[in-house]
Amino acid sequence: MSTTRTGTISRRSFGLLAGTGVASLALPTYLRAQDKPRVVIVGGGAGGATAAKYVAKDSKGAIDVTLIEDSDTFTTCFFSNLYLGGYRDFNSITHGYDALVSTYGIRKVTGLAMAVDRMAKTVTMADGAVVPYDRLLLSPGIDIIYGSVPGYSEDAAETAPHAWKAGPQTELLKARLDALTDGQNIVMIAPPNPYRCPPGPYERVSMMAHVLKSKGFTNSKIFVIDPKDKFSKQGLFQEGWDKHYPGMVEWYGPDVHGGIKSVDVAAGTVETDLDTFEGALLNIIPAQKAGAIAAAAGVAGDSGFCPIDAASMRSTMDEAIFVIGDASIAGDMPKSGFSANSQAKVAAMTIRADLTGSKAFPAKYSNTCWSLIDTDDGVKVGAQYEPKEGKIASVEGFISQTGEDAALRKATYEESIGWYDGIVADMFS
Amino acid sequence: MIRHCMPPRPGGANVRLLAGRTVATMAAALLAWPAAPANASDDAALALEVEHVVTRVLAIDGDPAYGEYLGGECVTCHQASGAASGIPPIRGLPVDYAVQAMIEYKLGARPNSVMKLMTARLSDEEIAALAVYIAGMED
Repeated sequence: MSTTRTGTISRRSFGLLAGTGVASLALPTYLRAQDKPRVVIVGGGAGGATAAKYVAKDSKGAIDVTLIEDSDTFTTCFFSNLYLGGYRDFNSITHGYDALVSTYGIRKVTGLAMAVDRMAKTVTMADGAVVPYDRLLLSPGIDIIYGSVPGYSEDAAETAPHAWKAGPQTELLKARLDALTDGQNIVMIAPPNPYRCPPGPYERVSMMAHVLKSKGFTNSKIFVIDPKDKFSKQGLFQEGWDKHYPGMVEWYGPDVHGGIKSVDVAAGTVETDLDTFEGALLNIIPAQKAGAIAAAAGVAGDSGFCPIDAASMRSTMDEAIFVIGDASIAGDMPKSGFSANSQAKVAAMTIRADLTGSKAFPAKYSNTCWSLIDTDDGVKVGAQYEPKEGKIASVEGFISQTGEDAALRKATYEESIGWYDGIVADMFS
Repeated sequence: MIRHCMPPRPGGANVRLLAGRTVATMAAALLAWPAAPANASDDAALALEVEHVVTRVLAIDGDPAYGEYLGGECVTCHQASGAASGIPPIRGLPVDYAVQAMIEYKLGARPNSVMKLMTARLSDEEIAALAVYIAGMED
């Protein structure tokens, strides 16, 4: 099989090859020539970067791995709240792909994957380049559904950031937060389920409150307008808000606010059935769906997320495609970087078994989410998961308790720093 | 070589003692742990159970390939390079030390909730496989 210097095959030459004989078509693509089997991964975050590394590392050069990611660097959503709170600088949560390329021989294609031809098994890039695969792994994260909040839009996000994808939006939110003066309020609209990082909005509230408190503000408030009637680690966060930021945070569930009617980012208002909330800073976190490439590939379901086989992370719609991370419907697992990293290892093992006949072991998944409420006050929730009756089910778990002593909370925060360094090393080095 | 890499606990550094596997040293070590059951006879019973399971697991030849797969769960937090910040390194721990530590977490003789979770459902064979993988991380 001929390849161009970049390793891609044009649609036309693929067609010519396919026409050379029925016998050759009956064989897997990778057996038709000396070429190695090809794995293409779309998305270079906690799922995609981990999967690329593990396929390349564990196949010891037997599989050709291409990682398609639009950016040269990756800023982690996890710990981006700590950047907002002033505990981390932006560079410390931003990472490059150099080691994946130099250490593991992964080919990094920088660009946007636009389409998937599942018959031809190719990914088409925005610039028209075509990347062939034997197995495709999609880890595109989330897309924001701007229209889920009436009055909100991609343009409006330049005034009222969602900051639910780490990067310029996060920097914008930080700049707006740091520019507030005492007496100015923040209004957050929290997202409906299912969404990336269940405790994330509430850790963010904590970090924004920490910034206001640190400046000695006593007249500013943070209003949280939530479409959900409860949220992750609720007891822990509410205890922490009362302890560290008394009177500053007001959380409104749907039974109180009665429904979110509209936002006006120019006026800085959020209108609900109960009242109109006014803020010098609006942080609007809309509903979410799988990143666009999932729908373009036709592997997203009606929910906007992608159904998968619980034992392998393989798409239930195409056996040559895997979907991991926030884009997948992963049963009881939360949409988190830890989850995506865990799912990546199961998918990588299954892909290697598909392509090289290596042994596949029973799938096991795990997750832990740490959250920071104030300096040295960390909490965590974690669980283990296994495939059960067709879905990924929680089989064991724990959560931090209210009333824990300061030493334990500090140890939990320190553990989270160790985890951050660990997972980014696992992804990128 | 015994590494002093587990989180420090009030009550003294028992790492070296814990690596020993006699009932007496185990019981003495457990008594020093605040998270261990308060009752001395419970401590002794737990120490006996740990000792019993450790002996059973050390008799198993761990499957390195299975260990490497399962070990994917370890290196999300414990860096494969051995570097550490806030979470102790595990790279290259001796098999008997790793087995003992995993069983102590699993049975509640060590208090960390994440490690208790990660070990809660590990079978004897899985602990043996993981210990072989962990010991071999230096290769």
